[in-house]
This record gives sequence, structure tokens and C-alpha cells, in this order.
Amino acid sequence: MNKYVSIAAALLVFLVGKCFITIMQFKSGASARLNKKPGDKVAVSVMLGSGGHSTELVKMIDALSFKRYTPRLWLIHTGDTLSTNKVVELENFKQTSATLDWTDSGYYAINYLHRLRQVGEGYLNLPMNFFICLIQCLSLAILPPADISSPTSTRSNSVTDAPTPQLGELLIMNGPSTCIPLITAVWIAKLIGIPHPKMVYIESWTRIENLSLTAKIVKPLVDTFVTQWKEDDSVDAWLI
Amino acid sequence: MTKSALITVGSTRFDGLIGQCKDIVEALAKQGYTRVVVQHGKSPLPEGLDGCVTEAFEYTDSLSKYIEQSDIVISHAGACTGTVIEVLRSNKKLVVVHNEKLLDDHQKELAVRLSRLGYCVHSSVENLLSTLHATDLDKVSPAAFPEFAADRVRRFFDGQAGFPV
Repeated sequence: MNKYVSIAAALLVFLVGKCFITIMQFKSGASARLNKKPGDKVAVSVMLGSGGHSTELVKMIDALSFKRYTPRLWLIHTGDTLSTNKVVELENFKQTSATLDWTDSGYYAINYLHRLRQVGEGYLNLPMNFFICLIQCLSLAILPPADISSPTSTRSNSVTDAPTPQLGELLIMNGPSTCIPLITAVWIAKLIGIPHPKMVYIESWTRIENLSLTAKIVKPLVDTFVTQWKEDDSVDAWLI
Repeated sequence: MTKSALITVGSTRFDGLIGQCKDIVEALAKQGYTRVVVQHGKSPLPEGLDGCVTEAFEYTDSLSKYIEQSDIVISHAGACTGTVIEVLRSNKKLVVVHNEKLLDDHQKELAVRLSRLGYCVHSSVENLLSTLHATDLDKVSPAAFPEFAADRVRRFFDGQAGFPV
């Protein structure tokens, strides 16, 4: 009996210590540093909200070299065909232009996440929706990646990279409340020591001083938090 | 030369704006805007609109064509940021209208800031008519809105990803 108690105690001490170290590293910013050489690739995941949020973020990603930022995992709300269309259009365009200049734009996948509030729904189902979404996010943050090259879910073009965690090395977000379960899932991975992405949150350009509720919640939890407006109204931080 | 105007609310509902359509069209006509297109979303279009209104519809996937054809755009502040930015980048005159009744007032904040920077005129929906009457729209000349800075976006993400910037 004593033996089990001491094993359990040791495990507990280990876990608490691990969490403590993780949080200290997070606070010092040490865990958020990535180092890349110019020819390297970086696996990214991009959470698209809907409407204006999607438009803003898709435009930003459009500016990037897809040869460098690959593979890409797009996270979209179930049923958000507008965002899906934007992504497919962008990916197809990049593929075409990639063929033209003899580079390759790598590959991508789309994953659908459950909304925290369905259209026209009240707050009653919020806990249940959060739970469903959290499970989906956890399967992305913790389980090993599915075969991304399978043609049913993705277009693939030269799948030569080493397998990466599903959320990649960089998780890019700009708004919807779905970011909250997503960030929770990444934190769980972080605390139990599974490779996890650096979390980058870009507040929408439409927010100047009044941050969105999601932004206020996630601000202390992400590695990088940026807003696009500066006090002197200069446009130096505009990403739109 | 006939001048054209576009009134847009995006995918939302803004009865306060669309309800005044008749008076808005009249005020615009006084300043020579004799062609008006109305995108009214979920708000019901008032009856008996002036003949100036050449086209009226609920929603369209792409407003680009209509923006291109108009000299001035009157837009709901929360219509769609995409629309607001598109209008600003196409160097059209823009009147951003915000809804004073909304509790979450970041739309007003954005409208006020953009007008302070000289990119547009802003007005609350209650004051829209007096704003239109008091402003000589011909004299409105918006400041040039910055183009999309792809370089800045690349630098930001490359920095985040740990590439030498």
C-alpha cells in the first residue's frame, strides 16, 4: 500500500513540477522561440472565423510564401462554406502560380470545428458546444497526424516533409470564440509535454481600443498577442 | 455628368438606415446624385422610393462592381470590414454610419477614427440626414488610404516563425 502512495506522490510532484516549469518558461517567453534558417519550412495552422475575420486573415496568409509556410492546416467552422471557398480559391491560385515559377506550394488540409454558438442559438448550449469543440481541438493537439497526403481530404503536392504535429509549429488566430477551446487544447498539450505550436493572436483591424471579449480572454494565454493600432495612429502595425 | 451612390448594410440588418432611404435619396439628389443602388440586407425596403433608385437587392457576394460604379458609398459601420476597406482603397467617397443603439460600440470607435484620419465622413444614423444636408459632398476629398503592405505582413510572420528578418 505504502508503495503505491509513494509512487502516486512522486507522480504528482513530477506533474506539478512539470506544469510549474512549463508556466515559467511560458512567462519568460523561452518556450515561444522558433529558430529557422532561410531555406527551412514551417508548418502552420490557421483558425478562420467568419466574414470579415476570415477576409482579413486569408489576405495576410496570401502574402506569405507557401513554399516556406507548409503544410498548412486550415481550421474552419462546420458549415462555413464562404471561408472554405476562400481557402480553396487561394490554395488553387498558389498552386497555379507555383507551377509557373517552378516552386512548389506544399500541401494543405482543412479541418472543421464545432461553433461555440450556432447561428441563432442562445447561451444554453454553450458548455456542451465548448466540450464538443474542445474534444475536436484535443484530437488535433494531442493525437499524431492523420495521413495528410490522402487525396480525400487534401490536395497534395510533394509530401516530402517529416511528419509534424497536426497544429504545426505556428498557430495563427484572429478572432472567433473558437480560439478559446483551441488554446485550451494547446495548453493541455503543453502541460503534458507534447510538441505544440507557438500561439499567435492578431486582433482584428476593426478593434482599436476596445478589444473583443475573445481577445481579452486569450491575451494572457498566447505567445504573441498583437493589435493593429498604435497610439499615434501610425499605420506601422497594420496587417490589412 | 450623373453621379452615382451606393447604400450598403452588408449581411446585417440596419432598419434605422434603410428606413430613411427615401430621405437619403432625396438629399443625395439635391447634390446631383441621380443614380442610387441600395443593398438593404435583412431590413425591409420602404415603399415608394424615388426613381433615382436604379437597383435594390438584399445581398450579393461581391459588391466590387457596384463600388466601382459609384462616386460615393454610404455604408453601415459594421457592414463588412472588407467592404469598407475596398471602398477606401478605391478612392471613393465614403460615409460610414454607425448605430448609436448598439452596446458594443467598437464600430463607432472605428468610424470616428477613420474619419479623424481623413479617410471618410462618419455619422450616427440619427444625424445622417443633417450630415448629408450640411456637407458639400463635392468638396469631400478623402485622404489616400494605405495600400496592403505585403512586406510588413511577411516580416511579421517570418519574425514569429523564427526566420532571420
